This record gives sequence, structure tokens and C-alpha cells, in this order.
Amino acid sequence: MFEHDFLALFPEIFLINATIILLIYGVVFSTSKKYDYPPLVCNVSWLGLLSVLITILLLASSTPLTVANLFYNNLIIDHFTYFCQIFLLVSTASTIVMCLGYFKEESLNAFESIILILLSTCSMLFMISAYDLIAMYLAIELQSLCFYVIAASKRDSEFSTEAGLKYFILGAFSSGILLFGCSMIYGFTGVTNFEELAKIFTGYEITLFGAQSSGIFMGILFIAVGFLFKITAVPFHMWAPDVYEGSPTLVTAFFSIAPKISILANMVRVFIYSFYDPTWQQLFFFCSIASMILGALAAMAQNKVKRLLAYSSIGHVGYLFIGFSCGTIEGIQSLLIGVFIYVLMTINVFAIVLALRQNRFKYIADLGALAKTNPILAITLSITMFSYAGIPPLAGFCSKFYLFFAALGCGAYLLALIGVVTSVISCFYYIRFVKIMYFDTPKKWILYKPMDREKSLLLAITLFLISFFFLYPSPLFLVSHQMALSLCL
Amino acid sequence: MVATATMVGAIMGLSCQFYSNAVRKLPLMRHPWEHVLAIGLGAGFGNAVASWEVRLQEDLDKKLSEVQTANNKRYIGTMRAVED
Repeated sequence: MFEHDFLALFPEIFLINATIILLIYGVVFSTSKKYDYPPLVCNVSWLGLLSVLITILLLASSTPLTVANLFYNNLIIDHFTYFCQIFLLVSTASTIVMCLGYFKEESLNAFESIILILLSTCSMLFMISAYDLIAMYLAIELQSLCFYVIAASKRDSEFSTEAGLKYFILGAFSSGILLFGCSMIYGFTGVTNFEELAKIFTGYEITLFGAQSSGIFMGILFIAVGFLFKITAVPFHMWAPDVYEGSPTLVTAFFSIAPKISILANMVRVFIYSFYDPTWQQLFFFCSIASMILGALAAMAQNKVKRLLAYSSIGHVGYLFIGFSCGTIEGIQSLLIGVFIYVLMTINVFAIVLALRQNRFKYIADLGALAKTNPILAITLSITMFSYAGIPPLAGFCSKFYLFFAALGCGAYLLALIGVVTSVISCFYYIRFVKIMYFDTPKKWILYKPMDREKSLLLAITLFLISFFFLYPSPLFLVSHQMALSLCL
Repeated sequence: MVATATMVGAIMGLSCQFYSNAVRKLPLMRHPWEHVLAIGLGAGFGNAVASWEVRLQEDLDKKLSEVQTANNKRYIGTMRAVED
């Protein structure tokens, strides 16, 4: 039995081994006097990308199992985990592609950043397939530990160090709350496995305290708070703008993309599969509304690009929570479609930000000359911003449309209404990019350097997917439907 | 179906390569072998997505019919018993 468990986890095991080998390679050769202390960041980046691509191939080549419980019910593999893991790996590969030229431009010789990205990807893979509170906590903690270090990876920058420290202190606090919630659930039910918990919460199995005891409710509340902190939902978002701004841009891109997939996948598994109950649904209703409103209003006052994108990310978490708090199959389906489109748009916008980074691009006003010096990049950024704002027929509109439709389907009219209103408000700051690029006279003329080939190809693929998604959405619909069914049935 | 998927995929691949050159301010036809590679990759990707969609649809229909059968057994069977 154990042999089959290891076989089923072969892609994860491969990625962990590849990461360890890359770490040894980096440590041994970068400190070698014989080779004159070579900067290995470029080699490690390419090898890391290769490892992720091989992991994707290993995962995709195996036929998805209907359902398999591994390591004494600690992990699960089904259609939901299969597609989420592939999606996570593709987004990690995109992040590494974005950073291939970054280290050289920033004169940053930190191959450890790539190792940490790979290590956190491994933990996120485990987080997606976690089927037990202990396995879940361990995966989240490993991911968080990597993130604390990676946020402070630019050691000579005060902002980066501050971001790392801030993230570490607040993250450790939220991990403590999450662990406290897990221990309360264990104390009141005597089980940690999601399946056993689901049986208790549906009334299939009776416990001494009953499924409705206040202790269990407090446990769920603490777990929810821990998750809300990790995913930057209001009112636990306060760390996000500072950490996103202070961290190196590559790290900000990674923070905005990969953890959203893994944490939402884990939240769906925990709250919709195990703890399904209308009481926590109200909590997520509130968080969704608060995130949408704060994301829309706070972003209007921002002048720095990374801070604006941080608030935009908070707003989008609010939109994604619409699907999540519905708790229906349509809700989960719309959430998955929403995450996919959000990740596409974020990869696109961060590829542009990283491409312009070499010109010390920091403020939105620095974009003034872009439409004159590189009109194609300006059009790309405009299309992405229109998509973020939810203007038809771009992918962002489709994402919001399905989310609002799911809310209407489950009777959450207020959520849909607030979603529409905040979308209209958010148009103001997204379209401000277009106004600055096309209608304002630039304060200073910047001659933007041409970007590298990898970034341009990444931009091309994401741009085509954003622009033409509405013509051919059926594969994504089918996948998301299958994922939602495998979770709910 | 196959021809359409191949053609659309090839056009998308070629467009990606054109875009990549244009955004870097290079001549559009720079390194023509890259265009051929992009067309090939695009065509392959288009076909793969089309066949994947068919397989997904079959899997989903099978799953939905299983669910429907299970539900019918559960409820309609009970109702008949009450009628009898």
C-alpha cells in the first residue's frame, strides 16, 4: 500500500529532490574559489524552470484518479487536486520565466530566491492535496516560512527587510491562530481528518459535544481568521500593501499569483467539504463585501504601482469570495474560473511591470511616455487594465459575470449588487493607467529598454488568452465543472 | 474539427511570435525559423486542446449520468414504495 502512495506522489517527490540538488549545486559552486565565485542565479533559474516543467509533464502524463487517499488519509488525490496542482505549477513556471532577466538587471545574486520559490511550490502542492488538519497546517507553515525569507531576500534594502519582518510577525500570529483553531476542533471532535469532520458536521456521526457546540464554532472561526489573513482578505489585509511594496517585484508577483491558488483550493476543501454550515457563510459574506469595497476605494488613492496592485488583489479576493461563500457547485465553478482569469491577468501585468523595472519604474505617472515610445506595450497594458475593470468582452468581464451569476443563483443579491457597484468604482483607477499613457503630457521622458524574449512570449500568450477567452470558454467550463463535482459529490 | 483546431492554433502561434517581435521593436519577420516553430507549436496545442475538450465532455457526461442514476434510485424508488 505504501509503495503506491509514493508512486502517486512521484511529481512532488521529484520536485523536492530537484530543489535539494539545485540548493547543493548553488551552495557548492557559488562559494568555490576555484571557479572564482561564479554568480549562479541564471543557471539556477533555468534549471528550476526545467524542474517545474518536468513536474508538470509527470503530473499531466498520469491519468487523473477519480479519488485516492494517501498516507493513511493525510493526503487526497482527485480531479480537483490534479487540475489545481497543474495550474499552480504553470503559474510558478510563469513566475520563474518573468524573473529570468530580473536578477541581472537588479544586480542581485540570490539564487536562494529560486530555491525558496521551488520549496514553497512543493509545500503548496501538498497544501492542495491535504486531507487532514495536521497535514494542512504543516504545508501552510512550510509555505509561510519560505515566504518570510523570500520577502526579505534583498538584504541591502531597508524596505525588503521591513517587509520580511512585518510579514514574519503578522504571519506567525496568524499561524498561531490557525493552529489554535485546529486544536479546538480536535479537542471538541476528537478527529483531524476532513472526511471524519464532514461526517460529524453533517450529523452522520454523533460526538459528545455535538456539531453545533460553541467550542467547534470558535475553532472554525479561528481557522477562518488564519486563512483570511493568508489570502489578504479584509479585515486581515493590513500587511499586504506594505509587504507587496517592500518586497522585490519578482516576489510581489509570486505572492500575488501562486498562494491565491493553493489557499483557495485548501479553503474550498476545508470549508465546503468538511465544515459546511451557514454560520461561517455569513462571515465570508462580510469579508467578501468588505474586501470589494476597501479594494476599490483604497486603490483610488495610490500613486505607486505595486501598492495599487496590492489593493487590486485585495479587491479581487473579495470577488472570488462571492463564489466561495455561495457554497454551491455553480459558486465553486465560478470561483475556479475567476482564479484562473485573475492569475492570467496578474501574470500579464507583472510581466509588464518587470519589463519596465529596468527603467526604475515605480509610480503610475512614470508610464506617461509609454504610449509614445512603445505603443504595443501600452495597448497590452490598456487591455489588461480593461480586463481587470471587467469591461466586455475581455476575460475579466467573463470572470465577474460568472461570479455575479452564481451569487444571483443562490439568492445572494446584495453580494452581486455590491460587486457591480465596486466594479464600476474600480474602473476609475484601472482606466487611470490608460489616461496617463494616452492623454497626459509626460512629466519626464523615459526611453524604455526592450524586454527579453521570454517575457515577450509570456505577454503574448496571456494577452491572447485574456482577449479571446470569450470566443472559446468551453474547456475551462468543463474542467471547472468536473473539479467542482469531484469536490461536492 | 481537426482542421479548424490546427488552423486556429497555427494562427495563434504565428500571432504570438509576431507580437513578441513587435513588442521588442524588432522587425516582424526576424528569425523566420521561430515563426515556423511557433506555427507548429500552436497547431499542436490547438489539436491537443480540442481532443482534451472532447475527452472532458465524455468524462463529465459519464459522471453526471452516474449521479443522476444514484439520485433516481434514492428518491424515485422511495416514492414508488409509498404509492404501492
